[in-house]
Amino acid sequence: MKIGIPNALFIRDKIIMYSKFLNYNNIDTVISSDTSLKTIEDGVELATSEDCIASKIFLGHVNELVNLYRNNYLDAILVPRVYKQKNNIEGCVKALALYDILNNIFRDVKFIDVNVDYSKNITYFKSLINLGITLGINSKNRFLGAFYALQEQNKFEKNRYMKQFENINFKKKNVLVIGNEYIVNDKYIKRLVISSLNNVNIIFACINNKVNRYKNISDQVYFANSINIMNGVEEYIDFADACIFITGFPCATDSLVNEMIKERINGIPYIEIMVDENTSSTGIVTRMESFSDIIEGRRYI
Amino acid sequence: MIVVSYPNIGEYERIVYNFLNKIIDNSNCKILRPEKNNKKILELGEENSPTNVCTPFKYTLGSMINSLNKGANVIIQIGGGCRFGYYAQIQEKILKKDMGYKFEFINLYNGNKLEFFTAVKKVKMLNPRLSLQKLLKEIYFTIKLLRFSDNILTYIRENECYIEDKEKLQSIKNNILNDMLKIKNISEINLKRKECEEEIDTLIVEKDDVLKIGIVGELYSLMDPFSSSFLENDLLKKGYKIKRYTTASYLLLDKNKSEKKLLKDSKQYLKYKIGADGTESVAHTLELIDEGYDGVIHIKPFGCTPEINAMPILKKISDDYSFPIMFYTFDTLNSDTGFQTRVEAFIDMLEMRKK
Repeated sequence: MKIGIPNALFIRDKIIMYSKFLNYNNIDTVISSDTSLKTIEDGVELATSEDCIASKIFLGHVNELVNLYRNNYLDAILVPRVYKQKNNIEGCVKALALYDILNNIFRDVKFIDVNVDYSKNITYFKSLINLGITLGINSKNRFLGAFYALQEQNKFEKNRYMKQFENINFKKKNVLVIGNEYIVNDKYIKRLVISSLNNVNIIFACINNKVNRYKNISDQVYFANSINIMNGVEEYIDFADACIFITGFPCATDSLVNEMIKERINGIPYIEIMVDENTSSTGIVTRMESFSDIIEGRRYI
Repeated sequence: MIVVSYPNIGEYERIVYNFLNKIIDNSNCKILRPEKNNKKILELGEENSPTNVCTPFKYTLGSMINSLNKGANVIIQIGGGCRFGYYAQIQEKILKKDMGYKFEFINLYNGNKLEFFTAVKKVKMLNPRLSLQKLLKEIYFTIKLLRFSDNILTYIRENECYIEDKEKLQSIKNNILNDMLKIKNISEINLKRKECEEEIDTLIVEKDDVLKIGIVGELYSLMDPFSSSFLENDLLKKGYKIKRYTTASYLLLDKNKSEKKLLKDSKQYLKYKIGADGTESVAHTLELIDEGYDGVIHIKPFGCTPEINAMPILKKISDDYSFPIMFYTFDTLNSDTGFQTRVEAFIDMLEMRKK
């Protein structure tokens, strides 16, 4: 059996967990390739015009897997759904509807859903068990697979967290890049925005919802994405000489989170870069070059 | 002297006024009723809001600025799901730090949670002698009043196309709107409800060939006439039968109870809730098709994710049932003329299909 997993949106963050669980149970996984211009073009065609760029990229990734499914290379496509997480934290509203949207766009494709909702006691562990039941995996392998997958995911997250700290270089100017993981770490967007920043050290701070440092900025936020961004700001801002907030147009929460973090970032150069499918690389390069000049210029102030 | 105000949303402002009027200490506090939403309020909100925020944020911020300019020194805001829970914190920051207003901001919610006793403490600022018993009594009364006004206005909305005597109807409506400000006890509500229903029933004249249109979408655009370019009123004036499910009493009192039913009704298209009122948009559209409605207009402010979630599903429903659905997004740069042209074209199409 072969199952496809779209490497986009919030699924990127837990892709290790889902693929390890499936692999443990002898199910092959096919993860969609890195975002390209074609991915975005495909996504734009399938999406509602007002969808955020991250959703359009997601649909492009799914489209790649759908083509494989239609050519009998895949048996199904996995579409996780995340609603309430620990401590009443909520997943992005888009994440609530992906399974139903895909089922309505691609009626001929088999999608497998896996739901996480702590308000109904469906933890990540329970969701993997439920996925195992859907796939007809026996109870022993379900449990062992879920333990193994979560262990691997935790290991991956810990390593990533440590690497972020190791990445700080005191000999260079450090530029903190914040934003939703699926935007900031998407290779296409990363290349578009970051590639023109020269002679600086980049710190990507986008994943860490396990600490409560965000409460220094706001104790009223409840979307996981906002919490991740604020935790990132709190953890790294003291090491940063400048900060870039990359946001996808028209992200509902980012428009307000931006206002909340501005004050905390006060004192160092800060720029908000909004990307969508029409973003011109020339425009971004010009802005990034000016921003680099500002960072460099501050050396002489 | 405390001058308390709150952001406006449609006619519900009257019920908030009625509630506050009963709990404040009149010797030390007065209420400044917010203006109905208008172009000036939208411009005030637009000028001072973050660029990509949704229009309800801009309307509520504009309404607060307008009240502060008129002398309010206490503003009450609530929160809730979706982005709404983030509004209060940012609006307080914009008003106090960016614009320099000096006032007390009462946010009854903590993010997406209503912590009742914390909220009570905050409300007591308006009247330190307010007892919990009195507050609970008035909350109970306000719920009844909300239910009464929503029920009766929904009944009128759904039957307005069958009423020929528009002057009489308008006077009944005006009476209800005045009652929302003045009614003092529950027995009065019950009496009024009976009176209104009887009066309306005498005006109804049965007609067969009325065009029936449902309106679904985001709650603020649905409940505040100005933010949807008076769509509902225009359609009613033209003599069409209108159905709109979303009301404040539905959102506050019935929404949680009806979730299972909504998913059951739309199980062909939905397995899960799709956020805020998106599930309602889908389930109610299916209900409208069952009830023989001729078309649906789906409205939302720009960037409303739950309603964007509902759109591909509504498009599928529209294809499956050959059922006309018009989508419209409102923003600050909205043109009334453009919107009216689209609505007129949509209605022409519905009329041709009906013939």
